[in-house]
Amino acid sequence: MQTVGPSPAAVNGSHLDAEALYRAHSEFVARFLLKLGVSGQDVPDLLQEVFLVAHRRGGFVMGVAKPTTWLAEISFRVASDRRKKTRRKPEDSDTEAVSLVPAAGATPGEAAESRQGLARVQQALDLLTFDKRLVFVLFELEGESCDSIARGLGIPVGTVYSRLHAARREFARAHTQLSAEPTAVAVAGAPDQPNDQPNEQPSAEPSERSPDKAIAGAGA
Amino acid sequence: MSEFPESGFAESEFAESELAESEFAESEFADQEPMRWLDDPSVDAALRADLVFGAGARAGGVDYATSLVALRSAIAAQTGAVAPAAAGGKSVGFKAVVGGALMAGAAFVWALRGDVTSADAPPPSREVDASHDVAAPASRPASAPRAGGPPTATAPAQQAEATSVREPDLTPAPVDAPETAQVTASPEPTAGRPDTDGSQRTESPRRSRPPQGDDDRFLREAKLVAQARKELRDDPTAALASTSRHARDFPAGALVEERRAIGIRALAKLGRADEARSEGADFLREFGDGPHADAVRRVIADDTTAPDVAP
Repeated sequence: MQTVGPSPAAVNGSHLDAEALYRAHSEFVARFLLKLGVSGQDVPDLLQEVFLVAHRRGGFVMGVAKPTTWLAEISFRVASDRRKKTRRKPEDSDTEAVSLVPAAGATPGEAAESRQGLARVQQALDLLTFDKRLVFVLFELEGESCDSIARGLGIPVGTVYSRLHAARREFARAHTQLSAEPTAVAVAGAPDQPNDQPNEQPSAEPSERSPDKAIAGAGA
Repeated sequence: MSEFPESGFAESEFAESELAESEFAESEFADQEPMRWLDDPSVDAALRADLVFGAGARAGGVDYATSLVALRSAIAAQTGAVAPAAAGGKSVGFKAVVGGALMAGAAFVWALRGDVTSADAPPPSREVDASHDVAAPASRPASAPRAGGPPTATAPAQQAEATSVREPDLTPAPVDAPETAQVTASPEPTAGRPDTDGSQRTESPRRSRPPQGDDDRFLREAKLVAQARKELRDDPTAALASTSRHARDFPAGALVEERRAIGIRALAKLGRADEARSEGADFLREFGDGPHADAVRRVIADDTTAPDVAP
């Protein structure tokens, strides 16, 4: 969803200035921040901050990385910094103003189902350490390749592989547990919707699942 | 990224990983691109189904347009004055700008004037122009920012510390940039300006002030909407009053979409579900693809299932 119109001629050859980046990728950054676990009430501030950092860095220069993973790295830093400075509880009644929402176009029934699924995903993500979450979100949810992630983050691709592997293991474990406990999934916006997701099936990587230790202590 | 020699990234943030990187050096994951779970039929269907939802999720409720305006202003402010930013860090300068509809308004007006179209110039130069236009000659930097290319890369997660070296080639301006921009963009008394969250929101000074053209008008509009947004949290009745005032004073304003979304949410909070649904339906017909559409949809959905929303 892009709402600020087409990019002006802020693209100078292989260079994108902050505004051009914003016009092209602000929605990505906003949802990425949310998927990283940033509170909805912090997103507007951090959204600005990400592109300010991009500006301070002189904008994006086409090269090794993609703009998305480059911005993801900045987003990670900014979000990480915010996490260290504030431990805000998700209590604000206006938090809902900015939040992850299901893709548009769904019927009401589909929307309820997608909210539940999305809630499970977010809760499972909450149990990952921050760096694993970063890689998992980029790869599994944003569809970035490991190579692109590595270049964007400036880390070896092997590190991406290993973090993804570990993140998957933890995510699958958490998801299995959440699916087995439907009442544990709090779905914002659909409090009375039954959790009828057919999630009783075993999760991926069954050999690595260990539900007995699943949800403890991963939350970074 | 070679242009961002921030090796500290791996050492600082990622070093927290409990995972020994070498642990998987020999594993099957160490040297090949894995298949995305979404594309892997061997992965549990329920897990994949949820990932589909996660992958398709969007950020709802973000006012990208207003945020862009504020971003322009923040960039202009940073470009125009380095010393205050370095001293105060982002928590002062940045928040003042981000949260401040006044700053946003200044940049918005600047944008409307067409200054953004100076696209032939390199982006930093354009930003200097923005600073010039908005912030007045007093804060005009003596040299172009980063004329020699990207600034020295710093640890961006530590912006407050890094700010001091981000714009090393700028001539520090002796004035506070955000305030400068505000002062110039709006001739109203600036005593209440730091209330970026609308804490000082008495309308009388603004309303009694004679219009000063588009700049002033937008500033007043932006502040009114910011006020309504804040009131929505704890006092939806007041928020509704503010949106009504906005509708009256700015029927074709730049922030009509946001105002209407706030009004709908206020109605829902007040338990006026029928009105919220009706207004919401109208809103979605007009702004169904906008940044507030999802929030409105949620409100409507909530009202459908729980009409007695607590005020």
